[in-house]
Amino acid sequence: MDRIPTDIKSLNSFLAEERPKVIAYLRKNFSMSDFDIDDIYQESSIALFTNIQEKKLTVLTGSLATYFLRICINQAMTFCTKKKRVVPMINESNLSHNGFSDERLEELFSLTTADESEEYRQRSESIVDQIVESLPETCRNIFGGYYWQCLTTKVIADMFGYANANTVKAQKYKCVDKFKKKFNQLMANVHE
Amino acid sequence: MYMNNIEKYDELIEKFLSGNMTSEEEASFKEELKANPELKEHAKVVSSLIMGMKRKKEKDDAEIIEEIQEKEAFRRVAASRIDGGNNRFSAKIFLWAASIAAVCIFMFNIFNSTGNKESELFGNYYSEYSCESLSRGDEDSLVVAQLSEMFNGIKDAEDCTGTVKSLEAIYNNLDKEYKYRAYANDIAWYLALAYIKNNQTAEAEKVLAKLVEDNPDTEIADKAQKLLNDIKENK
Repeated sequence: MDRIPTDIKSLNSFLAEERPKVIAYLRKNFSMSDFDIDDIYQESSIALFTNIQEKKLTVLTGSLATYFLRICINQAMTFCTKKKRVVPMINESNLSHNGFSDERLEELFSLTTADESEEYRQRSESIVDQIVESLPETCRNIFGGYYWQCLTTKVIADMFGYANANTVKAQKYKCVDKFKKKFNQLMANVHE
Repeated sequence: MYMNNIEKYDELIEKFLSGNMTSEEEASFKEELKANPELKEHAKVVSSLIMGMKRKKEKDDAEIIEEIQEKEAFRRVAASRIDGGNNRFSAKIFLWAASIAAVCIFMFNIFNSTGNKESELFGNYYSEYSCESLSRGDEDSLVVAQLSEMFNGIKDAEDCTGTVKSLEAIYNNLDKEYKYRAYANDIAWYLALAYIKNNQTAEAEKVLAKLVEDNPDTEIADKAQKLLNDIKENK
């Protein structure tokens, strides 16, 4: 197979969205030409499709985007090894952080909303979903990368062209602040 | 001042959410949540936000996987219908071969000694750990020697509980124990095998699934996936 079937819209959308980030990351961390990076991306896309099609991806405990990033990294490492180029030291600890368990999230949410009614909780969930759907691109990228893909701030900086990990952190705080303001505004509208 | 507080709050919240607090730290954090309205509000917002992101992204990922697998199933059905006429002869041969194979398997199972399915699985996948060329220095030699002893001890041990506990302790703390990180995949692999030998196949499946997911398109992932498939077949 040399290409992804065009009728799988959701996968093609996903790959189009991941492309700039993954290519930026590979450019930053591997000594490869753009042509080779493009090749790696193509082959990784096909590998992802094949793995899902052949049900090799039986249990996905993390995100599809991180799984795909790992395929791209492994392919790039294999390529560099074959071409006797420098292979960067990329391992799990500098790629992703520990992540946040569902149980812990539920526990923290319960602790912070213990005084609220069930109606409040349901309403706040609906408002959060609404805000998440309409996040500005910068915040969507950072929240997606940090909270969903559990990538380190260094990797996010490489993917989105930030100067360094601290810049990503600062941007994350701004985005959380924006989210908080929007959330409070929408919750206040409900009570009016 | 505000940003410094937010940074501090974020660190605490993320430490709690990733399960990295000691029990004393956790108790202190929960007390502070009650006493500090600013921390409580920030924790509420962050936990809501993360849960919201997960809800959306999990749904998006599931849709992609479902669409691929549905379209693949459709393609297979369509291909078999289009090709039906030309494949009648092939189908007859296939059915004949399948019947013979079924009889052979049945006879094999009748005359074969029952044995332990887990031991058989273990035997098929275990191989001695070779560490001669791996050492990168004095400290590394000690790590390699320690791991070799554990891995190679699994084979002859009647009860692997001790080895399982030791390997679990290392595996669950790989993010903190830098010296073991280079051997993370070997540790996961031999832990899975020790679980199998100890009849803890459910635990083995979890470790193998993570090995597959963390190392896509590599030899170790293929090996782990094959073992996972065999475990499922044995059930």
